[in-house]
Amino acid sequence: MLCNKCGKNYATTHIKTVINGVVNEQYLCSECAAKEKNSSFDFNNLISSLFYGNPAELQEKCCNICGSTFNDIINSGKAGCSNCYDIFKEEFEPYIKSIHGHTKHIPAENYLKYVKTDNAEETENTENIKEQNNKINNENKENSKNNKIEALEKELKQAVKEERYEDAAKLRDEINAEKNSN
Amino acid sequence: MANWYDENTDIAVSTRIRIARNLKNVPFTNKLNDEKIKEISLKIKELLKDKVFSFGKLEYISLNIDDNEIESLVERHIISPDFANVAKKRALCLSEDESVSIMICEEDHFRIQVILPGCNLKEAYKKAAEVDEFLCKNLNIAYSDTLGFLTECPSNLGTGLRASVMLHIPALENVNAISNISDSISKIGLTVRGLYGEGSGATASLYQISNQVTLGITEEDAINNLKGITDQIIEEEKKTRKEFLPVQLSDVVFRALGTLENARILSGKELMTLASKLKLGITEGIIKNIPKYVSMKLIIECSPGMLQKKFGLMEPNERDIKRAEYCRNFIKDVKNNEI
Repeated sequence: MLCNKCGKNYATTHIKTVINGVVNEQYLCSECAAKEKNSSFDFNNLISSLFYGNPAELQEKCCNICGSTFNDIINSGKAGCSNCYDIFKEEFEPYIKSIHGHTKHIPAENYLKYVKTDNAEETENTENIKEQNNKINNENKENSKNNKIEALEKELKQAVKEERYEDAAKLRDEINAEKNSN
Repeated sequence: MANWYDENTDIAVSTRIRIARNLKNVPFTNKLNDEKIKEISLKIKELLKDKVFSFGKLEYISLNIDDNEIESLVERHIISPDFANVAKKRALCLSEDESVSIMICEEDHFRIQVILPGCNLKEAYKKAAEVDEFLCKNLNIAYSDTLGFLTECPSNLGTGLRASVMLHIPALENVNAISNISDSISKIGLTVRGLYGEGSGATASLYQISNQVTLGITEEDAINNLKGITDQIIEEEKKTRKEFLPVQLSDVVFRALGTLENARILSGKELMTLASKLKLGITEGIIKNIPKYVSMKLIIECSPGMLQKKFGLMEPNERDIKRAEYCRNFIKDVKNNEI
């Protein structure tokens, strides 16, 4: 049988399509079949077919930099910005694994010299955060100490007023102890 | 300075390295408007203004130029066909010998490309890495510890490096070995594809072998794998060439040369097929008075955009006549040692 399309070469491929219930059958030569396939073939669809996940569930979350939802990424097969890889880390993982067979980058030594890695930033950040936390803790401690002394002094005044001298003596000792502690 | 296709090459015709890089926390190109693209382009223009690399400067070129000029950039493999479609509003940075370039806001914000004649992966990577280092040091490039360099398409994550070698393998093509090669190298993360579209019959027996996997493998390993496989394919091609019957091979080669020297009308497709046979003849020492670079130069310079760049806009049938004329004169001049 000759190719239905070019009518020149022998048909080698049988392509059957059903659109709205209308069956279309074509017997094509390899050249025409390749053209047919190329024209109907969308690489982005191929990539997006690798994505997992329930689109309805994924719709909620969106990237705070470019506004992409994972649905957008599924549809285009492309990330919206570098931040998307962070926001949709879990969604991306199985997909990245199916493309590369790996999910972890192996950096070449020379790059580590001039690329700003997450770690560098993280350490910087964590150090900053630690420092801040310490500062806040110290302030808190200072505050709580002052508050305690204030409260004790109040109680002391009250005890003296009510002539409970034993209690007052105890409170005075407590206040002194508190003042002397760091 | 000479282009990659002006050099004498055998089976390995050219080497290409491409590195994809993006700015951190700036939407990828598909989410950018023209204004933002212009902003990024001008930033690079400013950054590269005074920079001199080991290979010279990268000159900023706005691509708001003739369609034909853009087509000829594609034909010389300097920009991708996808980039050509949107080129009017984009820019390119290009070295004087056209071997190093940066496409700005192609799929990724920056695509560094190096193209060299022959199989020259290490040298090409060295040049690309020099540009890459400069960009990484001067810009906030998107990088994560787990995923490496972050790219618009997840298929480029990790190194963002695509290395490829273009091979002229008519003997392997003749014994239908390409799909076998394709099957076996895909298992180690490499891929083979016809340069001018398979099935069109105009492949000129040129195939590109490149790495597919970019995550979980270092640049060096990816390049070494590719180099190892390329060397093996070249050896296999050499062996297979010996199986051609000498007289029959000479016949095919000289017929091709005869047509190139005498034809009055040559379509692009026919020229490619003939130039490929000529290349085989020259490499195998059957044709001795024509230098090795001639076939690739004819393939590139006789493509529609390049012809029109030289001779002005033409209808396709006029172009076929001009192509035949250019080809006849070129081979004549080469034989007379005038070029």
